[in-house]
Amino acid sequence: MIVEIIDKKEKVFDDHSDRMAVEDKTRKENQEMENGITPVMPVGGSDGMWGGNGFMGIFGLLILLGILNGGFGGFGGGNQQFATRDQVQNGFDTQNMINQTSGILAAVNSGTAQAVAATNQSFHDSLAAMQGLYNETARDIAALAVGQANLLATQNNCCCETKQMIMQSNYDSAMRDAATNANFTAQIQGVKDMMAQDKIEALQAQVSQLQLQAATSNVLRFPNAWTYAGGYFPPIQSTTTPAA
Amino acid sequence: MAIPGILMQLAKNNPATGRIKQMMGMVKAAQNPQAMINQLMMNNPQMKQAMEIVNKYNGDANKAFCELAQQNGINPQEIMDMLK
Repeated sequence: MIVEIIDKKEKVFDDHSDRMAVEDKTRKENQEMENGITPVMPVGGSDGMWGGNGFMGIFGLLILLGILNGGFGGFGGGNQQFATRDQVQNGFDTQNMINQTSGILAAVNSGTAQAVAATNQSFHDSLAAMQGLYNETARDIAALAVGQANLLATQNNCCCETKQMIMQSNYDSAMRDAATNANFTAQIQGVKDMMAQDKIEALQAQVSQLQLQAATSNVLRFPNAWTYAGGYFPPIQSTTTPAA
Repeated sequence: MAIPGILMQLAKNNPATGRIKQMMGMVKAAQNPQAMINQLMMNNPQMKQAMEIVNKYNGDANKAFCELAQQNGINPQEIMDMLK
């Protein structure tokens, strides 16, 4: 029983929703009709007939309506020889439509021309601004390039001078080393010469002593001075060691 | 009831046909042709009348034009030739 009541309530709600949707649609259509706007579905159609698009049919209809309504000079339709008041009015209406259309076209053309001119001017202004910025940037880049070149030249000169100073220092150091080595060599050579001379002299002295010793060996030797005091005369002294 | 050939000749030589042809060129060249036609419809009773006829044919303008022309004994190709 409870389930049946709930189902009935839901059905009532569904019917109410459908009715509200229909009322909304009707209200919207009435409002559009009151505003003088007839809802128009998208225009298209059988494009294949004349190879164009659906819009050609509309303008064909305009010409056709102009012919049927007497819009082209009131030449009427059917077998009537003279234009009726309605046909004359239709002719004026058509002419008014054409005038309005021409006005719209003129306004569109004018607006388009103004928009194109404004766009061109805006584009020209933007281009000029961009050109100015480009020139300014080019000048800045050129100035930076010159500064960089000067800095590079300065660095190269400094590097060259540093290399020259290092080479001079190496040369001076080498010269000092050579002079020091020559001095040392000379001094050492002098010491060597002195030592050799001393050695030669010592050997010569030794040779002389040995020669003298050899010369005076086993010979009688008289004293250089003698004082008689008894004993043997001459007072001969043997250079050899007496046998014990 | 057939339309005399002289009326077709008058329509062909009428300046209004040239203006309609010019208007068609503008609509075809427009970025939003549908919006332009809607604007023309709101400002022109004749265009509104044409669109009402088109709406009766479910928006098929070519079909509406072709059938209406044939109903009045007019060869639609002759009118289309005027618009070329």
